[in-house]
Amino acid sequence: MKIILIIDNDVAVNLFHELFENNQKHFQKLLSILSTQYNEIWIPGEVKIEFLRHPQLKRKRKKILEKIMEDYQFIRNCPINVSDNDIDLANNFSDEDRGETDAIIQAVKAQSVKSPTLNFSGISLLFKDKKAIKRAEQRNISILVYKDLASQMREVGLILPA
Amino acid sequence: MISILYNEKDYEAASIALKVQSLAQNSTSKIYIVPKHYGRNPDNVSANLSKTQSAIFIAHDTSSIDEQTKQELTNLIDKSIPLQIVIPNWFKLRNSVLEHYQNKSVYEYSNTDKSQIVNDLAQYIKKIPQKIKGSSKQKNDDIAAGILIAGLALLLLALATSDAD
Repeated sequence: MKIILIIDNDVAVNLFHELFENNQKHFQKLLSILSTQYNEIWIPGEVKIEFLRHPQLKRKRKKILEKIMEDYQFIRNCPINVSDNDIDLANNFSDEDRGETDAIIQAVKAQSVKSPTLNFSGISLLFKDKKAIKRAEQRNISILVYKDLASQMREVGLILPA
Repeated sequence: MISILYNEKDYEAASIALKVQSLAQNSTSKIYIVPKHYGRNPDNVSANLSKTQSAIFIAHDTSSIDEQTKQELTNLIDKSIPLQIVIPNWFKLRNSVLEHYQNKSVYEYSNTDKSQIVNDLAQYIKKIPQKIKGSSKQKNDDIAAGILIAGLALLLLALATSDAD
């Protein structure tokens, strides 16, 4: 039985780009704490696309992401298939917030999975954006609000990027 | 409720406490970490410490107990709360508020294998509810034995009185 944390693009930028680049020691400490709380951290496909879309930082971010996923193997791509059509329908065919939508669909699908190989005891979304948090709450998905994580980490001496 | 305490600015101890809390989240007892660096509300801390049935003090980067923590530990000691102390072997326990406290057990570690400390503590926490249950069962057994002895004594007295009649 696994406990999963699914992240959104805003969080990926804060943690994978800013924190990792500015303070790898703090990044390592954060992940050592998250790894006691979650078995895996998932990056949805659309979140990865949004993360790498930045024209100037695309190369740099690609390298960072590859390094992080190699060093911390509990961070992985979402294993559940979500089609473009699923995302389009859930997103009213808007190109905005596709990462959030992908993350929410992943969480909903993961919650309903009944398979001996994919068995989850808890799925949470790590979101920062208020609108996204509201959307996820409406779907009754457990949320770890980035602000709360940042507060928790201040107690252990880690300052997460705002 | 199990409370975990550490000194102010001992961020490693705070990190151990947080990991222990995560690993022992399936424990039947609620785990309360006494905040030292962020979001500390003194009334909230007092209220939670008053509900504490068992406590753990962790030190990692500090060698003695600071004033605030000393006050919190004193409150627990006054109520004879069982205390598990997890400290490096160079920690100054002598002349501290904990030195002569009877209801304590000390886990002194010499290396800095934090994951070992975290795992040991998580296992310890999972066993605490049984210990609390066990000690209250022991108390109940003692009371039952006392009542039985008193009953037997009364019976013997009654028999002796009736024989004398």
